[in-house]
Amino acid sequence: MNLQIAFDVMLMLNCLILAWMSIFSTSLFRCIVLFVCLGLLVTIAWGQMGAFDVAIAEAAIGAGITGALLLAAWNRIKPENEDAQPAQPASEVNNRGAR
Amino acid sequence: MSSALLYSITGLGLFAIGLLGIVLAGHVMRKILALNIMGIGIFMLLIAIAKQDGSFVDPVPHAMVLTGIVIAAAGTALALNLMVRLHRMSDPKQRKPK
Amino acid sequence: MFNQIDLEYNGPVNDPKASWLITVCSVLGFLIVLTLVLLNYDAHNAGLRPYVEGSLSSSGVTNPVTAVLLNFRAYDTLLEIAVLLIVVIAVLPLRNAKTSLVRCIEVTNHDLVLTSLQRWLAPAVLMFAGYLLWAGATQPGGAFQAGALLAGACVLMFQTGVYRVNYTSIMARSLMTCGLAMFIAVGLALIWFEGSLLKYPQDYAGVLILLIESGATLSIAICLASLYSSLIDIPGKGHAATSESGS
Repeated sequence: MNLQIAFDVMLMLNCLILAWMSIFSTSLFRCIVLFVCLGLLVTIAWGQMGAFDVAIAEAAIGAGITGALLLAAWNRIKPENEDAQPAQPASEVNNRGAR
Repeated sequence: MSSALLYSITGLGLFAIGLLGIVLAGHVMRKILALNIMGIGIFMLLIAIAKQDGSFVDPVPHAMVLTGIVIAAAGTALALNLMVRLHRMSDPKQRKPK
Repeated sequence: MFNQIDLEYNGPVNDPKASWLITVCSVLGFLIVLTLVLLNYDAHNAGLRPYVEGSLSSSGVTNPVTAVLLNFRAYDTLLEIAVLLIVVIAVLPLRNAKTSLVRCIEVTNHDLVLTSLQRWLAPAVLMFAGYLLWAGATQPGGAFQAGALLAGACVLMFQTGVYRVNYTSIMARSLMTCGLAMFIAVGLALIWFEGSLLKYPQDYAGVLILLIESGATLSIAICLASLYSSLIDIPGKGHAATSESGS
């Protein structure tokens, strides 16, 4: 019983942290990926609460379809020279070259 | 403290994070993500209220949440379409950074 | 915020730091009040489960969520499918109605991993969606889950750009509306036979639910797939992957 509560508490904390990072991250691509991760974590949460129909629907629609929609929209609005990885700062590139 | 109570407080927390995100985030896509997170918080609250004594699962909130997930996905699709249209019509020099 | 006096004539309207502070404080206060309400919340009755349990045997299915969705609250599900159709109409890419549903266009870059994934996963997902639709009567499953799975398989098949679907063709329109049409047809027929909207007779309740669920699955699948397509296809310019230089 204690392990159950501990697992639930860790799951909830992860959901809250992922939700915060999904909105306030620097790169928009990272926000979308973290939102898909949040969708999968709440799928586990629905499973923990006994809502299995909702878990199947959330995994398919909430994480799958919404994630695909967000990525397709991100592809439309990103600037043309940006890839999935955000540009590295110049100092890091110089350090790698010097090594 | 039962786990259902903890889950309902987490649902409230997700709703509050989404509300902060809608007001404080700059880019429109972050606001759409925040709106979805508010929806996930409300669903968590509904299902945690449905699970009351542990072995006692009320199926009516499950049906409401199922309807809500589909409608939220459709609403997100419409919002993303509007965002893409606005992006296409906007002036490139006036687009704020992400 | 507290150490500066702003006397600029055309300065900003509000102080961003002060707005941020007030917003965070008000949301935190709202959160604390609701948490206190939730902590003092006692379940004062047994909810709706006893009523659902009592009527489950006469509803035609054994899964309580499916019974609630498609029998006890069937009107809400009808309206939900209607809302999905309205959203699809709002984002529908405008094309010719006379061309066929799916056109296959040969693309030159064959990505091995992607095509293998499509070839292996899409039939399995299709079969699993059919199983979920059938198993929704007794186990967790049902129309929405099966429709969403089918939509996921469609999204997988759209990744290469080989298939271009014309959502304004006759076949696509009939697939999109068949869920709502079947629901309304069953409802109106039941008005004729039983006297009120969507009041299933006890012998045929399971069969009617399965009929409505099949239509709803197809409808939900193609509606969600068309929502995805509206973001990757620009009307008039073709698929994004093959017209990147033009856009």
